[in-house]
Amino acid sequence: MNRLRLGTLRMMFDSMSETRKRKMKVRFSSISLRALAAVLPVLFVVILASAVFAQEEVPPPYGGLKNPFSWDDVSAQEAGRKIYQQSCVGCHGLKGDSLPQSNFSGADFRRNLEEKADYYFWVLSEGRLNKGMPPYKASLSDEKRWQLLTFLRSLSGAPAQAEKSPVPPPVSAEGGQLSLGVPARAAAGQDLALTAVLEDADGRPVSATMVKFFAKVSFFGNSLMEIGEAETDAQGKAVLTYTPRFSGDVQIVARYGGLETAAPLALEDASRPFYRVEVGIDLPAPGPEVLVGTRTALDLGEQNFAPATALRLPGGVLSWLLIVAATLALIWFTYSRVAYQMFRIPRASDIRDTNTRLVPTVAMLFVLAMGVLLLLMLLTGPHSHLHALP
Amino acid sequence: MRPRAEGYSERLERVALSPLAKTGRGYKLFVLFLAAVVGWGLYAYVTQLRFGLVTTGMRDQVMWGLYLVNFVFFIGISHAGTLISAILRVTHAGWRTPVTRMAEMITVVAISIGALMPIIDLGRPDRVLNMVLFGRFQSPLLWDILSIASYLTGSLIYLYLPLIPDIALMRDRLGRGASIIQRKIYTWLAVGWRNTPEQRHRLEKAIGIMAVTIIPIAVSVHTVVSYVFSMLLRPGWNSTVFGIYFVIGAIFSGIASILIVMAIFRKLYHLEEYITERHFRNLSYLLLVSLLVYFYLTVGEYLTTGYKMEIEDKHLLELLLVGKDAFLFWFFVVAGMVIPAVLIIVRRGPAIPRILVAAVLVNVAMWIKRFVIIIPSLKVPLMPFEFGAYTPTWVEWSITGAAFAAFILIFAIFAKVMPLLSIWEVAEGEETGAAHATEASALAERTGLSPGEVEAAVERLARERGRPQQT
Repeated sequence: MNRLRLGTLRMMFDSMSETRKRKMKVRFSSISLRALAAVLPVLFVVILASAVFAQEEVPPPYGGLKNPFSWDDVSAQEAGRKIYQQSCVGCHGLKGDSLPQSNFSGADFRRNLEEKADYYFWVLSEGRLNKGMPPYKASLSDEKRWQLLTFLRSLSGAPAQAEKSPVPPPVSAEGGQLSLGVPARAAAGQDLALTAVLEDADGRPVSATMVKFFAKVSFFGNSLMEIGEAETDAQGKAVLTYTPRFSGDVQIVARYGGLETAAPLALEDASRPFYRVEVGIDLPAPGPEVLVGTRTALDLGEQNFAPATALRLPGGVLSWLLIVAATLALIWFTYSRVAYQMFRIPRASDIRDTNTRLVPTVAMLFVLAMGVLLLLMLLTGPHSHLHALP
Repeated sequence: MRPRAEGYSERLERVALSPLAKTGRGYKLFVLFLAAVVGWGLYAYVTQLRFGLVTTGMRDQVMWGLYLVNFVFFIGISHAGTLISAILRVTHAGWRTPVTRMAEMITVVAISIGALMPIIDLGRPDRVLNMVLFGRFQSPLLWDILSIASYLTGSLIYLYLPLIPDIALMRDRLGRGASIIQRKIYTWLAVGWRNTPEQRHRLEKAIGIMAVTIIPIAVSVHTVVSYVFSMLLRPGWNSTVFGIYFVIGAIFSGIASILIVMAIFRKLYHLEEYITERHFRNLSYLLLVSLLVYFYLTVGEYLTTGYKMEIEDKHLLELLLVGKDAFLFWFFVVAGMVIPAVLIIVRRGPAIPRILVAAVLVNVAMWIKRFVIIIPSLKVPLMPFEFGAYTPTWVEWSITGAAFAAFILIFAIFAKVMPLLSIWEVAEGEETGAAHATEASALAERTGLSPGEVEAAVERLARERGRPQQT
């Protein structure tokens, strides 16, 4: 089950379009945000209301609809399972029990679903936006929505599925014990060591075995986010060095096979930025690498959220701020040169009462003033300052 | 002055300057009407300022509406002018002279109106100042400010320079009735022009520099306008071709605008002798070329998007091809590309009305095309929610109407104070042409060619020596 849940998160990420992934990689670099990003495109919340809403009248065109698939249609269930993993699992959880108000695993859900399929189909299609459940009629066809409901029925009251781990746990760990040690003090941005000890039923250490570590993150529902894995040594100890990028109280979970253990970890806020936004290409440059932007662009936001994106540029004269500034200066210099040509148009000797050079003079002054103003606007803006990167 | 050209240039002056002297009743009524429309637009804008952007159809999902459509449209037709007149000048296209002034005027007026649109689009226009004080140069919006400010100033200079000899002419032709202020203004603006060789040399040098400078600036302006969209990861905007796509689109609608303005003033100001069918034909060929390039880019854009078909692109293409915006999209294709192309290629019927219809269709369709670029992309949800919706309100329509009225109004007023033909350049072209005609007739006498062949020879000579002779 655990592997499955993790795999789902992965799959969701893999199934995203390339563009979206790229976008995400740029925008979010902290792990918590990446998990958020993985859940985002997939959908938020499927809150199928149970008893309370079941009394509601189902409006047309949904009223009286019947599931075209047999509830026990395995291929429909399988198709539904895929959709569920892509679109629902983020909020409802693998077993459908993450949200108490719409618990798909309860026995009464199966009965309700069979009796009022049209009601559930309606909620799935139109959503319950006030509860966080988006409508799916635009993104899923009728057939797919019914397949999804067919799958949901199989969740409820079904006999607990056996753990389907591709690597069967070695006999020695069965009935054993997994313990997890976390440091007493830790802060976001600082390396910390998570230690899990795996022992078999007789208290002997289990070596050369991969233990996975998770953090419980909260996004609509709670879900586990993998933060890494480590191999146990001869003492059965698996140590993961980990740099949290978020702060607050989190639950760290270590897992091996059917064994699971959790420990609370309080993470303090970071006192300084400890990672930089990966934006731009690390170009080779003669000078030091600079950041174009305010110093505050390096500060972390609330809850250590990534700072606003800032361009990372090669230092010195290669900076494209300077290229833009040079182009601008060239344009306005040309204008003032043209204005000067106007100014140099020789005076007519017979016009004495009017200063014929007034217009060219004004033009020249205006062009120069505008040029300087635009240049200053470009160069003195708070985001145009160059800072060496930490 | 050559005595032979006297009759021609006198008539030219009379034709070009007479509309400036007398103002008809119809003109006054028309100006009054335009001013009323602009006034109504101002009222709509005050309403928007009072109650906020909620009076528009823009909401959190579709957050850009008609204002941005107008922005792109007006910046687009502003290319008419300067870019086309500069390109024709740099390439010494001799036939350009009666057309350039109008083209340059379109530029200045259109870019002024266009630049106002993003400000109107803001709920708090006073915060534009923040762009100057705290602008971040990473933002395409700041690039917009820089390039549009450069382009507007450059077009003003480029419009003013060739005006100097004509203003001097008007200064000298001012009647007794002219007030001192009028006389003073014309004298100031004419920069003491006496048409001496040295003055001409200075002026031509200045014009030459500007013509070359303005071309890359004009290209950069519309490229940057397109970056406002293509720097975003939105379906339909996330495109590398947008820069050139917008530039070609701008030239396309720009040429159509020149054709319309030309046709109107040819009729109103009786310029048939100077703006001939040849000008319409030549410009219609340029229109056709830009149409074909635009068509090619359009096909390429939607084909590459549709071939890869990410889910958001699918939603967008569905909207455009068969969905709610299909009418607008297909209107653009049929009325903006197919019909104008047929009208230009199939040369049946009188040329000028035919080309004029094509130009009007192109401009209407290109306005709609900008709508098609901006709005449907915003409707497509990037998260699994319903599609956005956008219906412009009366406030937006009023301000849009006022923008077009203001465009025509400024143009109408300008056409009253400055000659719409570049008199000196047209006269120069005629002198050159006459010189060629003399050469050609001498040639005809010697070789015994027919008059038709002589005419062809004149044309050829004029083309070869398109550049006006230096005096």
